Amino acid sequence: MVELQGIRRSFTRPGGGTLVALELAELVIPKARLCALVGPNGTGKSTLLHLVSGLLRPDTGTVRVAGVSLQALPEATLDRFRARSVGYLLQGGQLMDCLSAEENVMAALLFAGQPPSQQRRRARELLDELGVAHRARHLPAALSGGERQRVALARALANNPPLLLADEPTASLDAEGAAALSARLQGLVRDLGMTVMVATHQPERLEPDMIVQLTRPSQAGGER
Amino acid sequence: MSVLRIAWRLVLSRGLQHGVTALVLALGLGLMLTTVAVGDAARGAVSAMAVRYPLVLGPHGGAVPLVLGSLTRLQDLEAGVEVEVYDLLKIDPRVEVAVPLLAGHAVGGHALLGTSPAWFEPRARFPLLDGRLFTDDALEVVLGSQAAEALAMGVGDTVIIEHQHAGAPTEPGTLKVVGVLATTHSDADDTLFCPLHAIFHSHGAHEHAHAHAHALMVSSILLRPVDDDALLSLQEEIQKDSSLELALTGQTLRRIGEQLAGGGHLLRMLVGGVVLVTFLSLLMSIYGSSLAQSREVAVLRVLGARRLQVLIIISLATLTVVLAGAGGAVLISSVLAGLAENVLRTEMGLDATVSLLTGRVPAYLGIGLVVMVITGAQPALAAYHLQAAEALTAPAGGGLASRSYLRWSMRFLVPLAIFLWAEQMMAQHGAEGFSRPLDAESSALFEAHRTWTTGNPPDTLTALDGARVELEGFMYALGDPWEVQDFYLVALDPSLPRCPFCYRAPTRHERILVRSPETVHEVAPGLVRVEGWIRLLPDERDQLVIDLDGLEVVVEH
Repeated sequence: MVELQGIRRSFTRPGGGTLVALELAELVIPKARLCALVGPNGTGKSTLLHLVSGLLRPDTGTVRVAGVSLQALPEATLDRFRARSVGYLLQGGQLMDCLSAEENVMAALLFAGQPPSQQRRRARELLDELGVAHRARHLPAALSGGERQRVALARALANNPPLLLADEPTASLDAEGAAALSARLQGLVRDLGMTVMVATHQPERLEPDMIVQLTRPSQAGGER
Repeated sequence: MSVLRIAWRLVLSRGLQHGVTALVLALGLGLMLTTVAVGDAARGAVSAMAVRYPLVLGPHGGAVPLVLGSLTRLQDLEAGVEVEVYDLLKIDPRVEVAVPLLAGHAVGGHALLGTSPAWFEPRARFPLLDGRLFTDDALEVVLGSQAAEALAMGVGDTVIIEHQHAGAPTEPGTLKVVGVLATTHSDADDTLFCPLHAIFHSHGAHEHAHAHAHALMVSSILLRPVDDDALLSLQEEIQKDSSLELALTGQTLRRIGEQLAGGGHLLRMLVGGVVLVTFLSLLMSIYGSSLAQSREVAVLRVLGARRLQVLIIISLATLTVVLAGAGGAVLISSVLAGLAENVLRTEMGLDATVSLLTGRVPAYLGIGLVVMVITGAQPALAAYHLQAAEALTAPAGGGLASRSYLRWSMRFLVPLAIFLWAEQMMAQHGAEGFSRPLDAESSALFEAHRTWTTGNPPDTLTALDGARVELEGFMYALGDPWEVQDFYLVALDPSLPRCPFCYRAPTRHERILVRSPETVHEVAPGLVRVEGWIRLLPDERDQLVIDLDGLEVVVEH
């Protein structure tokens, strides 16, 4: 499902100079797997997720998702790919504060080209499934941390993406919430055949199918 | 859910921030528009006066008080021109309209002004609330609205003129009220108008003058010559009488404007400061907005929003603020324009109409909107170019966009703001005049012309006939100081203070007629340089003529 080859991604530091954020010789994640990306801060977990979502392009190497080479796609196609094929559960939820829970989910459907008549129905359906339908018209500021996380998950799943990316999804959850989320992610893999990549410091909470250990890249740019 | 709805929700979510930004925009632009509108109105009023009465004749004592007293304030008028002068001018074929002015005794604290019905022209300026205007040979009076109300008088009542000074006739004069003017928000509201001879009659002046062999006097005479030739001819003739002052209305009012330039300069500095602060406040507001929006923009991009969709969302939010600011600016400037118009009329005696729909105001509003849109476009462009991945991990959710904004501001917006401010200052400075001697070539030509009073022209002039010349000099314009076409070039700066004993208008030997096929410039108070073909016309009234090719205000030596 996800294949990365010879990846190197660096950033320009604000004060000048270059920071190598990720170096990866090869990574292959088959379809319908729950993959945990682990490693200390600064090892490039979020960068790896951004590369797979098409938000970033690598300096060198190739990124293929479902057989499609992302670096070959023009930006507009990449946007459409992200809207329809990738669900992204951002760190902390990252809901839009100006939109209600329901509208946050509807926004994801809007950018995937869903007509307005179906947006509300699908959003209600997902919020109901995740147990936050009663908070549909509330703004994120009025939701608890767990509720925000579930709304964010609903938004990520809105378009039935084959690939779900999650950045530290259990970081702000208690043990019970983390367990519930883990069960849900495993259910997505098992029941829907979804591929899930999770950047986490707590892989034991997720019971993943595979674990990818990332290490801090050498700033000289050496191969790992 | 739609893109528009997301944009509107973004606006609402920062209602206070956007409201303050719109208010700052409204105040800054509103003040600027008001300044421009008031300037246009004052200029229009002065132009109208200069065209209506290009000349004002009064007793010797300075053109400025004469023009101000006769045309704007209707005050401080002292009699000093024999009434026979008016009688002669009235029938002079060179004069289209002659309007006498003579201040009489105040009636119940209200000024009494002797004049002729022509003073009320154009009639649209002085509509009658009731009755009619007085006739020249009757003992009648027309009341200004405020005076009529204060005196509780109307058409058919009688005004009694009491005399307070010794030697005045014992019997008070009586004038019948035949009309009441509508409110004009000018000094006319507080004035009583009557025929010239009614003042003489009510004061027993005819008998007094006859008994003491005195001439009857008027304060001043407003003149509209039939054309420029008539104007110059009158000027030459009248200036021979050293007891009289003949002022060119346009040039004098323009000179007053220059004398007030110190105060105007301060005002411009203040307004310029307001504009600068507004601009910087705008930058900071947008900086905050840019900082706060980058996280939302990044999330939108994660959800699959295309750059164009993001651009539309942020542009709509900015446009809402800009339109609210522009609407507020028009509202604020409308209120201020109304107040300013009242001040121009009541305090300065200018018949000004401050309009936001005419003159330079629409252009300035357009420029203001363009600047605001350009300024406001930055957050949208920043959002368009935002790297979502970086914004999601940057401190406070938008450090990169903010830095980019600050860089952009420093490179473009701050220099633009400083330029706009400096431009205002420079424009004012450039309008100030200094007196400097002319260059050698121009001095020699004026000197040759001055000495050519009779006989054949000197060789120096003959040699120049038909040649192309470039000369320095000062503008001496006869009519509207802002719509100058033909004017005279003279060697002495007419705006300089001058000796009251030898002041006079330039004679035909001291001026060069400059002809232009179109309106070339407003009267420049400093040196000008003209370029064109010179003609020698010994038999014409204007012996030296330059057909203009170019005109520029000279940067002083």
